[in-house]
Amino acid sequence: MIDLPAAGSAVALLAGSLDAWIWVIPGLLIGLVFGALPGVSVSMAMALVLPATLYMDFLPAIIFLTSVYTGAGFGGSVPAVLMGIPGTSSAVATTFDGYPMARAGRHNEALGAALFASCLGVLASYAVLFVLVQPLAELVLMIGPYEMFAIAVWGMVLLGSLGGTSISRGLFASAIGVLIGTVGMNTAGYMRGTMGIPWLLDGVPTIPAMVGLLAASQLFGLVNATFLVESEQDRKISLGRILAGCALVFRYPGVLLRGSIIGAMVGAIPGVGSSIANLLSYAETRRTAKDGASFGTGNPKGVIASESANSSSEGGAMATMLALGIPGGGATAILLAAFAMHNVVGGPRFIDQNRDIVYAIILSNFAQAVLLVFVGTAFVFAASTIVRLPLRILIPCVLVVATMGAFAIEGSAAGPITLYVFAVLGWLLSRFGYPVAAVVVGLLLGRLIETELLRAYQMAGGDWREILNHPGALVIFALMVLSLGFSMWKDRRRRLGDAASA
Amino acid sequence: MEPSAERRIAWGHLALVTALAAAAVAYLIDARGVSLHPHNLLFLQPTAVLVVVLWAIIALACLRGDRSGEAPAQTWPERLKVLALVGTFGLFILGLERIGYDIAAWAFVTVALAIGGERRPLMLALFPPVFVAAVIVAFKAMIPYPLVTAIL
Amino acid sequence: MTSGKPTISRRTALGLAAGAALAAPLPLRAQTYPDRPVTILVPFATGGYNDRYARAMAPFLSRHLGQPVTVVNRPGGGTMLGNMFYLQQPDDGYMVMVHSAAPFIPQTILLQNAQYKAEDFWMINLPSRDATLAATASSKPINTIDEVVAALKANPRSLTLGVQPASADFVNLALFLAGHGIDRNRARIITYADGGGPARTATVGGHVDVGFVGGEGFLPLRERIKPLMVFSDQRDPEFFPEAPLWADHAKAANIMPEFVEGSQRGFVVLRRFVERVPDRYKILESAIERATKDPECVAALKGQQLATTWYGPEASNRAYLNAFNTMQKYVDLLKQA
Repeated sequence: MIDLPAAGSAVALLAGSLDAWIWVIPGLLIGLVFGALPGVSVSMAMALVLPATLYMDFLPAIIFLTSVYTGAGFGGSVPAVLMGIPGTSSAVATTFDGYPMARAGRHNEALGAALFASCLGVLASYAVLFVLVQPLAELVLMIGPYEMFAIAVWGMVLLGSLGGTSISRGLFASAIGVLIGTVGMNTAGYMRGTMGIPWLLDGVPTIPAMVGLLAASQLFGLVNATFLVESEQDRKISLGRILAGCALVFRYPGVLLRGSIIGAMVGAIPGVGSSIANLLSYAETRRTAKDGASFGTGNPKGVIASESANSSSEGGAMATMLALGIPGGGATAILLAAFAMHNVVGGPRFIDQNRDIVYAIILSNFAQAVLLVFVGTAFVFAASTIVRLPLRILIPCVLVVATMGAFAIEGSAAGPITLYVFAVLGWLLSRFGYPVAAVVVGLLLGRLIETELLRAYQMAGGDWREILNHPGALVIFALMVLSLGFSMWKDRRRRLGDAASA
Repeated sequence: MEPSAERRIAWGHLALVTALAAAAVAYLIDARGVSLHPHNLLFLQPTAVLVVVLWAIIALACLRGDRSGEAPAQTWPERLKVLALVGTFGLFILGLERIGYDIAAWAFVTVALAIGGERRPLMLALFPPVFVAAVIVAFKAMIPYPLVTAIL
Repeated sequence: MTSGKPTISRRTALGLAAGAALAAPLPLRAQTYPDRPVTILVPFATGGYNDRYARAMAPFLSRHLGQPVTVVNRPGGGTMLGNMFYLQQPDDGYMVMVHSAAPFIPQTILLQNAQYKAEDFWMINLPSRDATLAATASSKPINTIDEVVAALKANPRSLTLGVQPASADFVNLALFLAGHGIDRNRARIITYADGGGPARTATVGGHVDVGFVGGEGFLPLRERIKPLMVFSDQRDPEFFPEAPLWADHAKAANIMPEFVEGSQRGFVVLRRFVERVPDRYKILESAIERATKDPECVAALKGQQLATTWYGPEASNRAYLNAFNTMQKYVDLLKQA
């Protein structure tokens, strides 16, 4: 399905406009910095550099903007690993194992693995795009309420009882998270639980709530420790160990591949894609891994699963934007605006008439992924110096930056207030053995499940047989039941085997 | 927060889980007040009921004195340090819009450094303003929103 | 870059304005207006139509005001947070809004109990008009709106209809169904919150048979949809001219041709400011008018698919208040999704 003459002219196009290339590294750096700051989103970074691209030619402008996009995709994993702060909802699963790895002094390896998984994820998703841009977009368009509901339930079932000391507490935590996720106006227009606070109409601000639950609550507990990493020896920042982390990715090619596929497919779904792709990839990797029990305590596979999925979402989102003209989120909406600024209209016609430009964009993203390895390594090297700071200095600084980040999402005190409320809640919950991550998963998936369930209900109009019209959803549900059954059966066999050998 | 060891009931845990379940019930009542249409309650109501059922199970365990999974008890100085940090952070959030993000952050960093055990006067005097100024200036340059500040 | 200076200056100005108000009447200072940067407030997040329009207009408005113009976003609560913030600003003419005034201001008042009135806001120019479009995916067997009516009359459950809840589109859909005597509670209406995007995607993907959504967003997707009807009474050659108008459709079927216009976007200030400091308002209005008509601006905005028509305050306020009145009349329809 590759149009070779168009690919040839794309290469000529890229080789002919060498000035386009000088924008890649600044773009990646801007993206890394914006992405690494919690609350300052990719779309904000792109909106702010958009006016500057007005005076560039079309191709350099797009390359600059996609470089920012690529850089920001990885930038979010730096605070996720080092501080347990998910800068965006697509880096949530990275915190599950990345942060425990950092606490155990393996931050170099975790960041190396995250970086390499990200770069390869970008490469993989654009490789898929190169071959299958149109079919991928069509596939995404086929996902309706029933299918989406099935995907969200799958994520919930796999992650619902994440960690925690007992099943009842795990379920309690996720149910509370789900309820919090439904506050505000639902998809049918009903407004509830807002307590008269106007900003709650949009729901509880997700990112400040997550940062509060996962990170700020942790920091309270750390006030009695001296360093993030206990052993002085491990506090070193070592290029060798970052590279060793990169090498880890090659040890688990299956994890990387699964993450990239989930990312490219689920991540391409407009609106919610990238924030659940990383959770699904993590959950599936944990479910199928032999050492599934060690997930959440610093298993590098968890980092690789999450990062490969969230960075390959970029390619998926680009597919729906290029092939359909549908922006999946803020970042692609801005790319569409940049297209428009140069009198290029995205959408079905664009991809047929400008195959060479599409290929040039894809090829330049290959190059960006490769350059990201180097720029990212330098960035990681600089960023990880924070593990050498004593906690008495680090805690106030991180709390201030997290507060500013919470403010930066919507520009009001709503963010900081949410951050605080959820920090206290997270701190209390973790003291009594509740899995805080389950609240976060509930928060992220609860709203989605309600939305899709309601639409499915509206579509059925009281006739349950409607679901028979959605074979895709039935297949997902069947796969889910089968794979869960298989896991339980395997588990039972293992336990029986253990009992027999004991 | 926790009672002396002789009393078997896990009061702290019971209080937390009861408060959360009560919040869930209050939320359900509020939602039912908005509308009883399935488009409003289809998903919310069963979830709230599930919370109440789980509350019953967990509360029973608390009454039986189940303390599994609880964080190890801290000494009083340690506990005070955590509570002081939680309190200061709360005051900081409250002060943001009232006294400006810059002043509130500067005060918070200074106090939190002291809580964390920093005693060098030079560090307490110089580090907070420099750090806070850098953060505020950087965020002002990056975000497209008005930011309430007193000095910067 | 965008937020630093205006914030400082607005704060100092607050003090200055307060001092000036005590010491001397405001018009004395008006001769020098504007003598510092002007801010455009957008009550939406970055990346949407209003944000792009504000950022595209900023350099031209700056040229005609003779002062730098910066854009500041304050999203949330369906524009309620931005509106409340704006109402708290001093009437000094240094902040102007770019807003989807209708239907968002009426919505916050009618549905969210916002404590301001529609008349508190004054429209300078609302160049962007977006009408509800009834559309179906090109793969669907439906070809005309009359087929939709016939199918729904025979069986209200026969087709699924996608729409944004509590929106102008929803009122139009409800008026359409009621006009044809189709029971809305029996029809299968699928609601998509969070702007028009999700309902549009569902229409293109064929998850709903007919979508009722703002038509502008459908323009890049022309090839994938069949436009069935435009909820308007004027034909626009650039806005799906092949589809019949609701006004004609209603007349043919003997229905009251009432409808709510879709989004009306553009420059908005407070009526309070217009009344209290008219000379500053005149300066601002004429700068916006000159910027909107500036040939360079027209060319730049056209390139970004942004509207550039100058309707002026009179026509804009009339259109806005019309939309408010129709929405108020049908507030019960809005409330029960």
